[in-house]
Amino acid sequence: MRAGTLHAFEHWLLNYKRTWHGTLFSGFLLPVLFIVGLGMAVGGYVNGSSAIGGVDYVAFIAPGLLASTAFQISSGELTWPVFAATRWGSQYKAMQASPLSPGEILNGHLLYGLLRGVSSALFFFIVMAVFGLLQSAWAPLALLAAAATAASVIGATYAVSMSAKHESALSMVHRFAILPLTLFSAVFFPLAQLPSYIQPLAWISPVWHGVELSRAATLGVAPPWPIAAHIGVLAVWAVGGWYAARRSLLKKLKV
Amino acid sequence: MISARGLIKRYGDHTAVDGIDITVPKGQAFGFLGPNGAGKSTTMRMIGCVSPPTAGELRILGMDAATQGPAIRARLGVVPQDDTLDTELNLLENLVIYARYFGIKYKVARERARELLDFVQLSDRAESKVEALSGGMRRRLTIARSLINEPDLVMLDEPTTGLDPQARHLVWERLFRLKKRGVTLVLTTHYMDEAEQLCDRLVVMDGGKIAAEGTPRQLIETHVTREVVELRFNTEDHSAYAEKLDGAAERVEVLPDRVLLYTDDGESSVSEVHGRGLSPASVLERRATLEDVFLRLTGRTLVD
Ligand SMILES: Nc1ncnc2c1ncn2[C@@H]1O[C@H](COP(=O)(O)OP(=O)(O)O)[C@@H](O)[C@H]1O
Ligand SMILES: [Mg+2]
Repeated sequence: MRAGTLHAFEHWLLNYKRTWHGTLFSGFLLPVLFIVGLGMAVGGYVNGSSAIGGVDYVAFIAPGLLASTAFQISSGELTWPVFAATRWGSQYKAMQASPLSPGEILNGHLLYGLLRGVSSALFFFIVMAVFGLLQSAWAPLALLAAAATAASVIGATYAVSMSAKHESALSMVHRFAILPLTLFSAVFFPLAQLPSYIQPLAWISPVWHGVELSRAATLGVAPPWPIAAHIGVLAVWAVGGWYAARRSLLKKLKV
Repeated sequence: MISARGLIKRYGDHTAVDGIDITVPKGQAFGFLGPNGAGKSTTMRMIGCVSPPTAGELRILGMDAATQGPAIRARLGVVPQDDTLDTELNLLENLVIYARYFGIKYKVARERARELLDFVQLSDRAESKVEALSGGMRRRLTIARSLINEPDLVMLDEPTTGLDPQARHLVWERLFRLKKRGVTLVLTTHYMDEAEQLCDRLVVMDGGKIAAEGTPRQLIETHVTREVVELRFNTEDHSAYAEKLDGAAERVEVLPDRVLLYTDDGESSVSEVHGRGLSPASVLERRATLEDVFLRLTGRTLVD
């Protein structure tokens, strides 16, 4: 990684120092409420059901929440802040006048988005350990799965936010991409519960692959697809997203 | 420090900068004087290696602007026309984080930031948010920020536009100090007094082209007379006076609201006016300025 990437990253980190307490709820408290609330309440009905592999419901959703937290936090960090950085804010203009290259400006911001997602996942992982939800020796790999989920979506989210014509497009991203992706990527119920014609949508969703890898790790079971296939889809998203992000940024910075 | 040959920038089929040549030697304060839309900011962005030229050759600090952008930018100080400060951060943070873009170590960055805040007389506000600053203070902060990497060349795009006279003088005074230290300055302005005060040499720019070049004195001596008499008459239409004043001075320029007499001897021109039986409502004798040069060269005024 180039030094300039870290220098650009530091700007967003400094910015975060001002606002971190505001992110406590979405990043940390909300997932915990999910575990306690959903796990206990819904768990009463479905614990041990064969549809979720005979485990406790809370053990089923926790790894899903781990991956989807990383996904949500990372993509959330790269919607409004990215849109703002070249509109009402002028951070990118200032960076452009410095030795930083567009690639470094881009990677610095993506790195920040990635690390925000990963650090939230790490916190959530600790909560899982406290609740005794890490049932396999493979469990630490779930953190890698969460990181891979975040990495797979940052480029695409950035590209959409950077090229959005109007602010309202960002609410659309949240409503029609981030939320449904969370709901239909087997976080709260297995994919088999969905009608078979909807299932292919999950197959192309990076979140589903991340969730399945994460769950396989904490429960110590095999994921539905070969591991390499899951990782392959995530990698395609990550690389394709990065190129799309780069394109959108170069277009925006052109003067 | 800067050498441009046949520099062109086009936006679609609009030519913003139309083949300019400039040379700026080390230690000089060099100015672009021109009205809005002349192409000053576009030129500054090309020199700042942010905007690639459409055509022409551009070398800065001995390097090629087209291929060595980051290395050049590392040694420039840039004050853009619109401040690009992070309004959410405080003054100190703005300077330190900007220093980090250049890879300057935190410890050094903090020391320099303190010194520079002192230099622009904003030390007492180090911890306030930029949001709370006046326009003049923001401008001074941007100037301080542009110096954080100890640049070889400082570029200021309209450093005092929109500031009140007092804030303006504060900025000028700081720029004078930089000049004295031997820092090479390139600035744009549409204020002729700013150009006269700060620039060792300048180009008059209009419609993307350079209309004239020289020291302020040279430009005035070459293109206009030493003195100017401004006459205002009680009339809606000054054009009728063109004929009546013909020959009363070396040159007579009729504007909608006044008549300018270009002359080397103001007093005798004024008596000539009275001798012709004309009685203007007001008579102002003054030295010729760059404003007159601009008017002469383009037929238009600088600020309207
Ligand atoms: N990014 C741009 N896209 C299209 N036209 C531009 C752009 N920037 C400047 N121009 C045009 O180029 C001309 C010169 O503008 P500018 O360099 O900003 O002038 P100045 O700084 O002297 O006021 C103007 O006609 C302006 O409209
Ligand atoms: Mg301008």
